[in-house]
Amino acid sequence: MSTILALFVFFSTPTERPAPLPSLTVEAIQVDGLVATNCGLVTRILGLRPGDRITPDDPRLETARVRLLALGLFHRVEFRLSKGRHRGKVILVVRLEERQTLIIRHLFFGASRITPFWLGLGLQEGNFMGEGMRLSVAAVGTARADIMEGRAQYALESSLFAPKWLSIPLHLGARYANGTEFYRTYGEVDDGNPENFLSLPYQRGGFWTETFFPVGPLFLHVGASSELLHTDLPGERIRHYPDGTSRQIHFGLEDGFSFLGFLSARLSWDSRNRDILPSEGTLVEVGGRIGSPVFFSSYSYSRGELQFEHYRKLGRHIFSVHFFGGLMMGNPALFDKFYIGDLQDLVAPRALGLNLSVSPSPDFLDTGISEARWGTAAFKLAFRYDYPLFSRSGFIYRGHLFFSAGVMGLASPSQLRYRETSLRDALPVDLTLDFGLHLDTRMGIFRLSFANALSRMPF
Amino acid sequence: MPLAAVRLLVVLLLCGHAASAGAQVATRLLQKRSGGLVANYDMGTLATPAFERKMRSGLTQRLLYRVLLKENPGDRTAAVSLRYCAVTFDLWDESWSVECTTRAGTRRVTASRYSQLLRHVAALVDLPFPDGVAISPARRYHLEVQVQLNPISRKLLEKVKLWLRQSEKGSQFSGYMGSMLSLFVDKSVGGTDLTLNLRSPSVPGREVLAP
Repeated sequence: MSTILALFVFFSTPTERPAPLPSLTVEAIQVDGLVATNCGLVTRILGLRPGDRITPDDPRLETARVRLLALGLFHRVEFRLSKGRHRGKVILVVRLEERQTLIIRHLFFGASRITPFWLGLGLQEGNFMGEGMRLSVAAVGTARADIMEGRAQYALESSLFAPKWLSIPLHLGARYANGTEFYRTYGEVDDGNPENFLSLPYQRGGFWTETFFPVGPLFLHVGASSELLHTDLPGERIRHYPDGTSRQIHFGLEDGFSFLGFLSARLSWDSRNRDILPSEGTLVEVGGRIGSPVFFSSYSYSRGELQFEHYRKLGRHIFSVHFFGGLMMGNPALFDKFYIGDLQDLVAPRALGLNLSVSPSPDFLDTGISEARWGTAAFKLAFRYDYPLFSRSGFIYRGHLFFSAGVMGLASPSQLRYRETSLRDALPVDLTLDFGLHLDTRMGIFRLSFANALSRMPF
Repeated sequence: MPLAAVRLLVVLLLCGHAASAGAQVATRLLQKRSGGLVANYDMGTLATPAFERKMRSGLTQRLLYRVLLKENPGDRTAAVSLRYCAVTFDLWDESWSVECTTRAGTRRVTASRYSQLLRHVAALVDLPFPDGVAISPARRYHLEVQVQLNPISRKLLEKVKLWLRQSEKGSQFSGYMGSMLSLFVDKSVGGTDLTLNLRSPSVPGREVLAP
């Protein structure tokens, strides 16, 4: 028996120097696994046709695999060959596994003292018309504001991302909002009682577009936006202070119809190891926008922004620093200014541009921050600590406990110019903090946090 | 004729001896030889039906083996060795051409049966580690092997991920801030067709150093 085995081993010992790889002719291309995606899109990206000659290690196949993966539509891309009708002729079989394409992208809900509740939803179809385009639709609505002449607000937004149109990736978007801005006429600066506020109704709608392309190791995003705005500036434009003084309110908006438009650019360098709950790497973004009559804007201004994030992992512990700084010059419209809720974790942020709360910043440092709702200079510096609880496959991919704390500031020139205290005491800065649980699930990212809950409750 | 039969018998017996000697070598996980430290490790779990399908795909399949020699206590990486294999199945001849490269050089073979192929790609045979690996008789050693099938280069993968990320956050005009749920779909691009992580049994250093 051992002799038979020895013979087997002897004669089956692999031989040296195999023949060179053969050149093969593609007889046909078979694409398997497509449900929502057009076959034409796959064959276009594949770049091979029947009659083409390939080798088993053809680099074009590897390139095509990467290009198909880069569409973001497929979990898996595999190629194999099967025999054709004659020796040397092959059928190229492309096996694809599509991702789920229709997803809930955003959920909006909450309540504040001035807005009894708001509710909204954002959906995204990642493979619109089977051509790899991404269609996003979102809507949010509110109950009637609990304020004199208050009314319900709603906003709609839709965008289409076409990765391969005109040889460049292109975002096209449209939006409409029927909203209300709240402005204070009475009360202390830290008094969030709705009775102290009046409403400024507006309607705005328009379009935006954006593209991006690599510039060395960076990505440059360039875009433009144009909207038509209608406001009815109220007759009551006086802010009455508790000490008996009063001052005229400047809304930063033109009465009647006006145009909001700007050209924007953003340079991005991103070395983070992942988009969601990263643990290593750095993100640096420098951007700006210019609003000018040249871009069909009734408001002339310029705005610059810097964003920096750095993540470092020490053992199981993840430490990160986050910085945002922005400065505006000129005469920006109210909506283009920095908003307190976008900087302070403890104040409800805007939803599709709608302002939902009149809560001031908590003013932990006893500065002039309570007065600040909109500003032309803003910054936020925060430190965050993450402790990964688990990382696995399944419904919940990853869970992080986190704690973040920092300092933020929001100012406008008038706030600093007309002050009753020293400049140092009037500097509108405040502490911001948050802690909770971040869950990365198959459905999306859930942030179950102290600030998230607090900012959505009617205090 | 009898002489030829005797010669054949001698050859067969020699082959049988060589094969059994080879099997003995294969059972030693780590061995210090005059040429340096070598590893022998069977990775039978690699031979899944999915792996066989890939091996029979008719296209060149690339296998990257990352072998870490771990020292305990301390879980220290004492040495690293890499192996790269390219396997191509001939649809008509039904044979595989295999080309494997280690620090010892490149070896090209042809396998006419799948079991033969597995002996090359699902096993490490005399895989050399760099010279000068210090083995302590008082410590224990094991291998941690990662096998990647058709890995995409890390640089290219990062580029793809970055591109996808740009398209995800392209909407700087969107007022999506304020949503309770912010969904950024995990578009992780699978870097390989298959990744297998294996850990060998642990052996004492004195066994490694034994002749």
